[in-house]
Amino acid sequence: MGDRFDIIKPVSKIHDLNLWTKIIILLMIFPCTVFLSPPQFLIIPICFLFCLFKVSHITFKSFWGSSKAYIIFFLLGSTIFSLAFESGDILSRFLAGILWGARFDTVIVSSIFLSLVTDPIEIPMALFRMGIPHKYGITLMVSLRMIPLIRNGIYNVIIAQKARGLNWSFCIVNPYKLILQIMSLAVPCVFIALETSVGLSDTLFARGYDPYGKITSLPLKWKYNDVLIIFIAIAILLFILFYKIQPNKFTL
Amino acid sequence: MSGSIIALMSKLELIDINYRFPDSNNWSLSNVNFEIQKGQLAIITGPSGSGKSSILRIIRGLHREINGEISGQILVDGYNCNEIKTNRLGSIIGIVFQNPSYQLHQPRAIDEIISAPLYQGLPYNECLNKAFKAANGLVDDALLSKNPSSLSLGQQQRVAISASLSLDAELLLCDEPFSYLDSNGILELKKVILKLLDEGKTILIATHDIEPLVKIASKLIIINQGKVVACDKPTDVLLSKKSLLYIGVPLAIQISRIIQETNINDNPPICWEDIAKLLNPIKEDFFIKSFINKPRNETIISFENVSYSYPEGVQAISKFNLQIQKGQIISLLGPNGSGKSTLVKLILGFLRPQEGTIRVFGKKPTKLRDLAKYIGYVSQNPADIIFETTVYKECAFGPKVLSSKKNLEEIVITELSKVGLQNFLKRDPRSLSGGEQRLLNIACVLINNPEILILDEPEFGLDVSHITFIENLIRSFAELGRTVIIITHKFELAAFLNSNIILFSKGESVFTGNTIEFLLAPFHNDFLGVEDSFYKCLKNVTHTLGYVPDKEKFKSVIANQINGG
Repeated sequence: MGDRFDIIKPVSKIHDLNLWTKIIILLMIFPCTVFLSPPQFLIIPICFLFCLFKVSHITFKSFWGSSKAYIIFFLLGSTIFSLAFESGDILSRFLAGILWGARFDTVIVSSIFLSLVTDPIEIPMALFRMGIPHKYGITLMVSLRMIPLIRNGIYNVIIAQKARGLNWSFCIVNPYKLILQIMSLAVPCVFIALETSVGLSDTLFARGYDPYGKITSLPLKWKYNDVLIIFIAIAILLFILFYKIQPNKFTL
Repeated sequence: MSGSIIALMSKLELIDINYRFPDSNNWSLSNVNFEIQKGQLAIITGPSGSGKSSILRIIRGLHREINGEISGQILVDGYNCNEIKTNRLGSIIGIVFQNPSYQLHQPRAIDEIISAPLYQGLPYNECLNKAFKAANGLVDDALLSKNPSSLSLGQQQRVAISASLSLDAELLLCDEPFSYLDSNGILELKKVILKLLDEGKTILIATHDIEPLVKIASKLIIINQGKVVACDKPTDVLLSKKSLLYIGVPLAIQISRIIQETNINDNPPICWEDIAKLLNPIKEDFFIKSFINKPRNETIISFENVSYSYPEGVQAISKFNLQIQKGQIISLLGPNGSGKSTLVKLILGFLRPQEGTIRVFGKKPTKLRDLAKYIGYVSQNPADIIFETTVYKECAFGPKVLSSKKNLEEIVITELSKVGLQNFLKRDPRSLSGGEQRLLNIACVLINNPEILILDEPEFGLDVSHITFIENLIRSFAELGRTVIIITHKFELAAFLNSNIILFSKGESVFTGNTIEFLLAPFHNDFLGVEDSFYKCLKNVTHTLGYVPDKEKFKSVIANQINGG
């Protein structure tokens, strides 16, 4: 009998990395590299992230869909901020703004990338391994599962109530109607939330979960790819650091 | 819990069980006694709120989580379950709940299946072994890594069953396992149950819908108001006239009783499968004498090349064309996720087509609130609309927000009388049974006097008597020249309403026509599933008569044919 990953093929080699590898690279080494990197070397961590992105098989469409708002916001925000508050001519303030925007964006992109290549179950298990009681990790997981269920339930309530006459335009001048209609949505939604949470907690009991009992931890395995990728990330960081300390030794 | 108990596990026995919920003065279960032998399937049925689910929950020990009060003994091979910790009972008893969505609390199917062994703190490799053993033959490998939201309800139910069995449980309890499934899903689940019985598992199922399993069950238990009123072989219980008083008599059993009156048989038919086998074969060159259910030729809803895709890219409706005439009853059939609900949301204006045009009363549907006066929509879950403190107030909500309050009391009482709830005016709507809540939903919609009535799975979770009541309500509404659109998984309902049928498959309508045309269609096997035997019976009778009969005629023709008349 092999590991469950023998049967469940990971989406990509990046998805298959250890959660700690992903956290160390994308949330620790990578942001440090980006912020320490001088403008001419910023392309190196960006290329590194691009390579990870290509290997992960995540489509640009799905990635852009979940990150575009942040990317545009930080790029525009830092440019405007720089133009308003930095010193120097307009072009240098503009370029400084773009550079800082690019740095923030690269860090945001790496965080979003982490969420896209991480299986939700890894998070509670990671919390568990950190010594935090498993009931918090399980609560987090159940909460994540509840969100789409409750959202669907509320959607159905809105359809059903609108179909029997719920109409906000009728109640602009009538507080009684306004309260009645708010109640017509709020009460069923509360019941749906309760029903969902009771359903999921019943399932936990049915699976024999004991919040104070012992549960099995998923084994944490370090593979060749984990070591290799951490090594590359550290090498890039060391290179940048070395340049920061002794820039004269580098000639471009 | 020692392994030896698991190995010895052979039967379930309930002895003098009384149970009441915390803070309740009344016993929800009273003096419940029955036993099930190893490897047997038993069915518990009864009206909504009769205590079916409570029996399953107390067997699994879940009453302890809410501090319910219990007396009597639950024995599993002689061991008293009340003395075993709830989280340890999983290695003896697995339980599957009604709503598949709520039973999956993990992000992937494999995580759900492995969760029970992990929660017991077993060594990781042992957990894997148990999970793979439980999933073997029930859940395809390809589904193991999928998120529950991306699985069909049938697949979710399979994952839930595997997860319940992952601790090698020998006894499986299922609470209304068919409610959320389409006909094929029911057929699939039936196969799973047969496989588990072959493996020697003992199964107890609480359900309103006894038809799919009655043939393979060893015992049928009928419960009413917390008391066991019948417990015997299914044939004996179903053919005894007293025992089905509380839930209504399924049509197949009504036919069987007629047959038994004139021709006593040692093995009387008790389901459509039995009846279909007894009927004379029909020639395939089916002759249609007449068409019924003629439309009044006044189009009230039209679809022209309508397509709709959900934001995540799922094509729900593709190039759909349809004209719905005034006075028609339309049944939307098809598997879960085939596009039926999307079609209704498009009519209601809740979704906008990306291509094509929809017209309702000659206009494009703008906002649902503006359509509420003309279209009544009854959702699948009665709890979606209930928010008031009394039945009267709940029913009065529509007129209060849509129209004047003139004669409100009289109108409300009239509408409630139509659905038989006139004596419940001051009752809390949440205290009504599932069937009564559904009837209240219908009254809440009919009170707005709509031209079109849309019902989303009106048969969902109801017993035979309530389904028959709703069927009659639909018929009388349509007789007023109004239009009814029903989303249903029950072909029996669609057929006896003589409806025009639209069959969906993967976002496309693969059939549009009346019931007779549907009986001629060659592709029925793809979606009828468990209802295939009923389909054959109806086809046979329609062939004999030349038209789709009503229930009374249908019963007499079949009984007559089987008795050689």
